[in-house]
Parts: sequence; C-alpha cells; structure tokens
Amino acid sequence: MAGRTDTGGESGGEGDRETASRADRPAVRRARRFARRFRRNRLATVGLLILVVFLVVAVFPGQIAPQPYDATDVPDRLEGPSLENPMGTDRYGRDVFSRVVFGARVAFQVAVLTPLVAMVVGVPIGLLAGYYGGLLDDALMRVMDSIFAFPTILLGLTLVAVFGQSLTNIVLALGVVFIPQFARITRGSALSVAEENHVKVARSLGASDARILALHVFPFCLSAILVQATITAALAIILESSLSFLGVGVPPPRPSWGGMLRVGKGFVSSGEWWYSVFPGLAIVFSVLGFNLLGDGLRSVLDPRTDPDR
Amino acid sequence: MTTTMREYAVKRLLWAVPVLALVTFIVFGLVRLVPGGPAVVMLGTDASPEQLEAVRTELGLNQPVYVQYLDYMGGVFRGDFGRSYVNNQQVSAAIASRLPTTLFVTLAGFVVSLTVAIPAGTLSAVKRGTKWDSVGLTFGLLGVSVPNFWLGIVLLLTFGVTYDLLPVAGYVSPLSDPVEGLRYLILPGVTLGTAMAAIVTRMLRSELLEELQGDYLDAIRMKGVSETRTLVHAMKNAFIPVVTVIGMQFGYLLGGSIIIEVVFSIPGMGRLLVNAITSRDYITLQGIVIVYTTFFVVVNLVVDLTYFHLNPRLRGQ
Repeated sequence: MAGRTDTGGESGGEGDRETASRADRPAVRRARRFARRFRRNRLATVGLLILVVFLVVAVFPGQIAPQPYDATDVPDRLEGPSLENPMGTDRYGRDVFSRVVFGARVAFQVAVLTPLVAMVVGVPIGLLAGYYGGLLDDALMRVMDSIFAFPTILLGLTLVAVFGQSLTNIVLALGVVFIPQFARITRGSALSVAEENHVKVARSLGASDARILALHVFPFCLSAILVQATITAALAIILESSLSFLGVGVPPPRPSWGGMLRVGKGFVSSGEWWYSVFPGLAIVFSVLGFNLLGDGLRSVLDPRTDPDR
Repeated sequence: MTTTMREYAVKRLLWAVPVLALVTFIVFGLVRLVPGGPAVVMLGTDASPEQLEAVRTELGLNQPVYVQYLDYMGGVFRGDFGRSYVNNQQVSAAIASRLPTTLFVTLAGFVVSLTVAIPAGTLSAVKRGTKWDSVGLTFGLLGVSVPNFWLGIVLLLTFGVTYDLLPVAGYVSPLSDPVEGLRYLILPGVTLGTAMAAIVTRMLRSELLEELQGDYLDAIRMKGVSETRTLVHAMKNAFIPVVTVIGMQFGYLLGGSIIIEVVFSIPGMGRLLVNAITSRDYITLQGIVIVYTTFFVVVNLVVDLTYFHLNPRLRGQ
C-alpha cells in the first residue's frame, strides 16, 4: 500500500490497465480512443507528416521536380547547390534535387510492397504454427529459423544476384527476408489468443478451424503485425538502398537513392559533397518517418511493450 | 523437473544441425536456379551445346541435385569449397585469407556499439525524463534510421577530406601493427556499430526501467546497500534479455560488414562477395554465403547457451 502512494509512475500504470480491461467496447469508441492517444503522441504525428510528404512526392514526382530525372546538361556538371539546382548537379549535369524526388518512387514502392509480401506468407504460417502447435509448429518454425539464419543483407544480396536485378525481384527478395519476423510475431500472438475463452467458446459452438483462425484469432494479432509492418518498411528502405549501393539494386537509369550514393561516393575525395549528402538525407527522413510511426503505434496499440507507458 | 546446462546444450546443438543443413541446401539450390545454370554463366550464351555439355560433365552438373549437394558438402567438411571458374582460385584459400579481416571489422563494430550503448542506456534509464534521457532516446531513434553506408560516407567526408585525422580507406592488420591497425578500424567500427548501439541503448533502457521498479531493490536498499550497488543488482537482471539482442546483433554486424568493407575499401570477405556477385562467380558466392551463415548460426547458438547459463529461472522449465 505504502509503495503505491510514493511512486507516481505506478499510478499511471494502473490507469492503463483499467483502459485495457475495457477493450470489449464498441469499435467506434475504440477507434476514437486510438485517434486521441495517437494525436497525443507528438513524435508519431511527426512521423505521419513525414510519410504524407513522402507519399505525395512518390506519387507526383513529375509535378514537384523542376526537371526530368534524366535531363543531362554536361557543361553544368558537378556544380554545387545553387538557386537553379538546390542540391547541385551530378556527373552528367543532371539536377540532383529532381533525381532525389524521382528516387522517392522506388523507395516508397519498396517500403509498401515488402511488408505486404512478407505478411502474405508469414502471417498464415504464424497463425497455423501458433494455433495447432505440435509437429506442424516445429516444422514450420524450423524452416523459418533457417531463413532467419541468413543475415538479412546477405540473403537479399544472394536472392537478387541469382534471380536478377529488377524492382519486382528486389521486393520479392526483401519480402522473403522478412517472412520469419512476421511468422514469429503472429505465432506469438496466436499462441496466447488460442488459449482465451472466446476461442474455446467458438470451438464448442462448432466453428471450423479456418473460421476460428480468421475471425477469432487473426484480428487479435493485427496490432502486433501492424507495428511489425512499419518497422519492416523502414528496414526495407535501408536494405534496398544498401543493395543499390552495392550495385545490385534497381537498374539505372531509374534513380534510386542508394544508386545515387554509389556513384556519389566516388566524388567524396574530390569534395563534391552534395552528390552523396542529399540522397542520404532523403533515406534518413523516410526511414525516420516509418520508425516514428512504428514507435507511436506500438505505444498506442500495445502499451505493455512500450518503455514509456 | 530441471534441465541441466548439458541437456540444454545438447538439445540446442541438435537443433542447430538441421538448420545448418537446410541453410546450406538453400544456398546450394539457389545457385542452381540461376537462369541457364552455372555452365551458361561460365561460357556465355553463345557457347555450343557440346561445350556446355562438356563443362556440365566436368562440374558434375548432370547428376541429381542431392548427389551434387552431398558431394559438395563432403568437400566442405574437408575444407574444400571448390575452385572458382572465373579466376580459377581455390575458394577456401580466398576465404581464409579474408576471414580474419572481416572478423576484425565486425569486432570493431561490436566494441564500439557496446562502449556507447551500455553507458547511454544506463544513464537514460537512471536519469529518466531528464536531458540525458532525451539524448539517449534521440540517439536510439536516429541510430536506427541512418543507413550505415551513408554514415560511412559522411565520416569519409568529415575525416578524409576536411580533417585528415584518421585513415579513410584500406586496412592494416592489428596483428601485424596494433597501433596503425586500430587507427584503420576506428571509422569502420563507428560506422558499423552505430545502429547496434542504438538498438542496445533502447533495449537496455527499457529493461532497466522495468527492473528499477522491482520490490527486491527496496529490500536491498533497506539493508543499507548504497545506491550504486543497488543499481548494479538491477543491471545484472536487466542484462539477461539484453544479451540475446546483443548476440543476434553480432550476426547482423557480420552482415553489415559486407557494406562497410565496400565503403572503406577493406579487403575482406564482403568485398570478395560483392566481386563474386558482379562477376557472376557462383562457386565463390556459394562458399562465402555458407561461411557467413555458419558463423551466424554458431553465434546464435553460443548466445542461447549464454542466456540459459545467465538465467537461472529457465532451468526449472
């Protein structure tokens, strides 16, 4: 008793537990509470704003960029930032700003599609493994472990090297890389949900396993999956730009941030800093956007895992 | 029933064996999925069918995949990873000469990240809500949002061009010249270690915050133990889950070293791998990938055993 009164942090925790126990209220009120808590989370709002800008740039690069990404202007090559070229020009005199803007397209596609691919395969695997357990669980998880046994960049590199460089292959390769994460997270949630009463009731009323998984287990895994998806989006952008930096990314002339850095790195020692600084900043901001959103979602959807509850 | 350390170790080892077998098989199978197969890659698309056939027979590519796999793995166990068909080099020799370099780079990243993360995470938790905490949290967020190769390029710009303090390219083995070798490892270590430092800082902070609320700490305080020593007690417990993360991160550092070696022109396994990919040298590629993943699996094994050893609560299960 005495302990409870002298620590302020603990009473905050009590309040959280109370709200969590009211989780069976109608969906609308839950959505409203979600929106309220999300808005109160300032960093998450900043993340969302960054992502909105990112989305607009990725969808309308032609309207935003002052020049096409492949417009060369050889006499003006390797010029520093100026009013005309706010981020300078590259070795063919192309406007770096325009290329950064067009590069958003590749990055955004990778960020959205990679988690989708990983989810489509990983979530069902996790549901089955967590719900049925036993031998199936062992077998599925062992396969997941062996994919997990590759360092992510190495698996991505190997897959793209074998199947060839294209945006589709990169998204598929990165998707495969992240399957185990989704399988593990979903399995963990499914494992605990499967023991809950509403699942037992559904089963005793004669619901089929497929129905139980889809309607009574899957929805309760969604928040963990969503948080994982935002983190995966951030990692996918970093991985794609790493592959492009190593020369196994999206083939030129399509501009990708990692590809620009690959060339820009060659101009570091001669002092053309803008060539490699600006595309890198673009990566940092987009990744930061997803990470902020992910942290925000985590604290709103799953307060137990949030260190700052 | 209690599980002893030995029982657990045996169980965990038996688990690692099929994972390794599957991993090597995946790599081996992948390389055979290359359009046209290795023979076409070797000879080019305009080789005659007879030439292709001769090469396939020579390399044993006409045998069933599992026979090829067992053959290859038999060689791997004797330390023979085959011979590159691009430069005719023994793959095992090429790997052996570069492996120590890669391990030093990885180790540099590891040391840097723990040197930063342990004080940063502790300070952030103990001084929760203060300026120190904000610094720790900001670092935790930025560290995972900055791609390591770009951080490397920024360091190149800062140190190589502007200040001329540290070497920005190349490698000297710390074994042959410790002082110069370490100087060459500083920038790669910082570049590689930052992301892991950020992850461990965050993790240590949240584990320590949880631990600091434990009632047992009050009991210790009541016995008159100083605050510093109380903190040490909490840290010991907070560290148990952090060890797992640190171990997993070591594997990722190994993967990250690939790109760091390219950024800083370090002649390690990563550069060998990237060269193998661009020259479509699949025999070399396969050998390197197997070595990387074996290291990764072994490190995870060691981490799990350490975790088990550190956490007495697990033994009861």
